[in-house]
Amino acid sequence: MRKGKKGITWLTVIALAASLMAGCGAKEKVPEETQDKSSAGDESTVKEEETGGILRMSMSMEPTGFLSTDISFLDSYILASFVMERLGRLDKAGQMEPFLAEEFIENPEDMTLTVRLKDGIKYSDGSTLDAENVKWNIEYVQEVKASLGAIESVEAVDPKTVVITYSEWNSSGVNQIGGLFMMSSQAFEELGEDGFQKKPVGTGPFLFDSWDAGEKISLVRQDNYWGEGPYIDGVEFKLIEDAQARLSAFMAGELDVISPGINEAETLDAAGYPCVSENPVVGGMLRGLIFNTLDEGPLQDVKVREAVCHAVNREEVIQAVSGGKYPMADQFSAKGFWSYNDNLETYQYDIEKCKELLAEAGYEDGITLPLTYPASDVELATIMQGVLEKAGFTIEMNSVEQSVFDQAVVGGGGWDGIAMWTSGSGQEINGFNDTFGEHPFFFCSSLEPVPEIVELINEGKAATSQEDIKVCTDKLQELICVKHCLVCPVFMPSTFFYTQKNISDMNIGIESVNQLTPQLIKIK
Amino acid sequence: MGKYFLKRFGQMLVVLFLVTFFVYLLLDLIPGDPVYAILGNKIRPEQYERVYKELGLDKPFLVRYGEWLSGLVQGDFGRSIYYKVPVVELLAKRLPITFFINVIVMTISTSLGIWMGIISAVRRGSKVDNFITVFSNIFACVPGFWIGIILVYFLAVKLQILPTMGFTWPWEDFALSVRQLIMPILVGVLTSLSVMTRQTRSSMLEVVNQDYIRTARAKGMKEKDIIRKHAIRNALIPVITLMGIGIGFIFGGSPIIETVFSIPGMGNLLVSAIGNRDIPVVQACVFIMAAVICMANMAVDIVYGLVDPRIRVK
Repeated sequence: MRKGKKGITWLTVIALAASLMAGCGAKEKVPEETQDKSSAGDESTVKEEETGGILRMSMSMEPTGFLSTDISFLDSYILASFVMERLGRLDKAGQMEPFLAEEFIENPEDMTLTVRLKDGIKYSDGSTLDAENVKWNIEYVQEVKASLGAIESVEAVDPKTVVITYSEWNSSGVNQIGGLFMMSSQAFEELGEDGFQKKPVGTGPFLFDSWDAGEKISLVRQDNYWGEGPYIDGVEFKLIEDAQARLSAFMAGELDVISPGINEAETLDAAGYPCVSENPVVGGMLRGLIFNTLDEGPLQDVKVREAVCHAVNREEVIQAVSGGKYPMADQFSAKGFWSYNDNLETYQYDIEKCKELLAEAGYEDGITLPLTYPASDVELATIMQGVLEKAGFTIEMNSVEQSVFDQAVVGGGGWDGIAMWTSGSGQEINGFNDTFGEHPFFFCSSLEPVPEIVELINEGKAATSQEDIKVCTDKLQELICVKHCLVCPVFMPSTFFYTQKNISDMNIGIESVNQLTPQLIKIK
Repeated sequence: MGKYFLKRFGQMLVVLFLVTFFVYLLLDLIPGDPVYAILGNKIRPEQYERVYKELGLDKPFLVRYGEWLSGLVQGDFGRSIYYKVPVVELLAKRLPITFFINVIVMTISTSLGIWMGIISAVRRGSKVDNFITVFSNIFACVPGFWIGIILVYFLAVKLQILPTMGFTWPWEDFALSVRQLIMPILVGVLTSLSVMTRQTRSSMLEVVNQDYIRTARAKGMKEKDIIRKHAIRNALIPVITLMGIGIGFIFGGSPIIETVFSIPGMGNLLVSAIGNRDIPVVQACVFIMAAVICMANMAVDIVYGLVDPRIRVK
């Protein structure tokens, strides 16, 4: 009798658990046919269903804050784009087009850049985006980062016009000013710097609702948005650091958008999810090798550097790293981008040529070179080691912790021999200046400055037309990648985006990897 | 007893001081610059200088440690360098989640582990013993993250009956909370159950072969009473030690479980904080874990006396 009672109790518990799991789980498991049917109704039904809903996204890394100077990596760019907007927007060829601005007027003779603003743009706190506010934003960034070129003054000449005067003409000015996220100075004063970075106020289609540190960030729609939309009720960004966990969540339908790594992208492709990125490279990164040309050693000889470049079998590296998915790079720019140099003849994989150059440099018996890389790059570094050793180099692997690597390449410690190199793809004059210019700060601590390059960068900065800038960037790529062979570009890691079928008009990864149209997003 | 307690408490304070000092020292000795760890490499010298001073890195090590310690004494764990909020605020959210999950895991795995260990030892050589032994050995060998991934794949991705991640308090949404907890708890229980089962089994086997057990049998005592009154109490000493260690995990969390299931707990926080060089957060987590482990060890010593009066007499 007692045994029977026990059995009934257990059965009841199991049945309850099963019904709980099945009952609640059924909510998510919507058959595809049902989804398709619901989206194939008449126009009014579709319109009704396309509005509202919460877009569920993930972050692989949590931003430290949302001051315009803090936004530095992909997740923070995407998140900020829902709340804050920029004066300009890149088109597919990488040119800055006005967005919050009505127009950008460059006047190299007067060394001024005039920004005319659109009418009727308001921040979510009710304040107006006017010239005084833009001036405040520019001065704030200038004070914190000093990265906007040699600005002499910023003047709000009337409520809709800001004039920036440079002490040296800056041909990257439109890109730099146009790329700034605009922050409400009124909210900044009210909340203070600490408060604002945790609850930014911009002109974007969404408002910051809450930020649970280490967990999630929630946004809600801004009903008084100045433009079209927004159509959805809100956005939730969950912090999911593990790539596999993000993939599982997306495949289980718990996330609407994902930017997977290369391995996870393969899984999604195999499962039939369509990749929505049209331009997975622009705005992303460029990977390759950079040489220590400063310290005494074999790499001071350009022939040895050329030999290394000839030894790099890009196809093999790309196959090993991404199964052949990443586009090859032999210069800074991606094909189709305005700064891509079609006529550039770079070093191609040629072991014979490599050996010949080494013999000419006096290293016919081979050469040993250190390869310095951050521990997180071990896979790529090992592939590079294999590729270079096939050509007769002996590579000494020097793995260091990421912050040690950063300190070495940026802070001045320098690196031994060759270092794994990362740069922005689609280079502008400003980007060249960061590493090869007069006052470099990025991957420059073991580079001997080349006067010819420094001079050309200065020329490029002072260029007054887009044609002149193009001539300079073409020439710079030739000098850096070919003549002086300071770096060996290898590939551009693509950033892919996948969305669930019911998400539309997000336009993510179309012009560049960090641009989207949050105001137009619809959930069917 | 009071004197003993005071002595142990004094020892605990010394241990805590040493732990926090050495952790602070080790974090200071890790190669690399915290500023780069926080901001990445594309920073300008002006930015570097600003953050370097904000972090107080321009002060000597002992001054920084002294400041942290004086804050701690006043109940102030400092401010997170990465999240830019008071550490207490972070802990207040994370600690209860980790505690909640791990108390459930520990309760289930301990009670089930002890029960399985006893059954296995008492029925040594039987089919049940073989099954429990194989089961324990399998889960002692298989890493927790692997079990987690497999469970997620089948139950969440394929069958879609459970969510892949997250944490919700039962009073916010009971059904969702239960569904979110099933997999993490299952992984936690399966990975810790085997250790508890194996430990109980071997302790019990040692005890059931003792003379006093044979004597009890010879006296004609019922087998159930022998096990309950004599064997279990004697076999529990090493199991209690194991439980004491487990209590540390109740607060420290399991970084693997929390990462695989994206649970915003202490383990996750600690791992992220180490990566971000968020020294105040690391210090606070380590301090709490060390304090809990010290207290648990003290409690274990007291429980030894309750379980085995001979220890109390000594």
